[in-house]
Amino acid sequence: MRIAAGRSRVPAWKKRDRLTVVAQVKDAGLETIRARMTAALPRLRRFALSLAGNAADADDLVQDTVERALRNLHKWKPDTKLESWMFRIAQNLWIDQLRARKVRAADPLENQDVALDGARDAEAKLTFADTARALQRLPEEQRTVVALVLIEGIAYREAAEILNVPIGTVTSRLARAREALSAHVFGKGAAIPADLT
Amino acid sequence: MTLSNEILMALIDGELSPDEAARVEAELRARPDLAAYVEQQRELRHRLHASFEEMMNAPLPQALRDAVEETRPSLRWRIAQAFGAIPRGLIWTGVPAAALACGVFIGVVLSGNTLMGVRDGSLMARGSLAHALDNQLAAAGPAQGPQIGISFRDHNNHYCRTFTTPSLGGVACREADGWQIAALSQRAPETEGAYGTATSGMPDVVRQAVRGMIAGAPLDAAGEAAAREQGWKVP
Repeated sequence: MRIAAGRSRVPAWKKRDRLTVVAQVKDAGLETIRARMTAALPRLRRFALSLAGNAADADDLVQDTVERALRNLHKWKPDTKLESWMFRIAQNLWIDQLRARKVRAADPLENQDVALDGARDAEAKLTFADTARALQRLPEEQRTVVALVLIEGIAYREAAEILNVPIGTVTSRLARAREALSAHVFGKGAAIPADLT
Repeated sequence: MTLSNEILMALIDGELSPDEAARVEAELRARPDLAAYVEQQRELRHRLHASFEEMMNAPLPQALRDAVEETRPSLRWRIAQAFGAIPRGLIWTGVPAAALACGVFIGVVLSGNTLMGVRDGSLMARGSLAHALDNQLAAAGPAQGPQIGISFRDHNNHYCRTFTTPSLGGVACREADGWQIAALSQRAPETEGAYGTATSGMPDVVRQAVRGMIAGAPLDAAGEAAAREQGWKVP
């Protein structure tokens, strides 16, 4: 007789009941899904970092996302991208957390330098830090779109599906985010040429 | 094509087809101010991307690997996997998770008979299937109801028995509290006529599962009768 797994750290072999073994025999389904989730972890962490602004909150968010995904695996449609579904879970969890705990992302320079380590020289570091900081100042819904489209390189349509909003909402949020980010990063001269606005 | 902010954004974000992109780039050559704007937006995109690139190569924390490897998938997903192509309507899943955690049985009703139910996250034989597993000898199956195939001991030293119904083939192992379904799959349609003989029509996935589970040879008729005498408890 088994006990509900909960959040306890029970070794994997003890949790693996016979029914799970059958599923593995059937089409290696679960092992494949776990492998795909592991492969998705770096991007999920990057996405979570751009949402949360610090690595500790980001990794908590990714862990919650993985656990929620597996515990709701029956809700995933196998003909859709597992990674996109997990982005969506992460985004929903993050919004829930913001609402529940009134988390306000900390200044990324103060307690987090993961986002900065990639830059080689100090000048570049400052530039990139500045960009990351500008991102944190965006309204949540704009930041999410920037994270998906500009950082993750996800297409408009897929971003709209992840966020469950019309594609026009993605592009309009993106346009506003670009304006704000450009003003911050490039200064006042960064405005869109007048005849295009 | 008239240049607009939307089109420039789409160009920068790679949303245009190669043809469209080439046309926009051509128009941009006549508008250095717009070309500079596009360059600036590309630079912004590059900087954002570069700010977070480090995360792609950072070592994965063990806690995240553990979460992926050790979180159990939802019971409903596992049931769906085990049942394969059985019509969804036969699996009653409208039970709150809390009820499952409390050990409430979900009835799985096939052909009007309850054959299996979920208890504490395990799929257990019930009704006529549990009765057949307890009592039926392979050589003497009744004309109707679940048929027993082979009996064997698994690597956990439990007795296990294969069974078939008109639509299903599976293997169940005797636990302290009943027969736990260890493998279950839908039988291929062309084998339905072969109902009744030992392991005929057993789905391949169940055969594979049995091969992985079995310790030694299947029980012979005498061994099977003796195991039944002992109530399928390994001495």
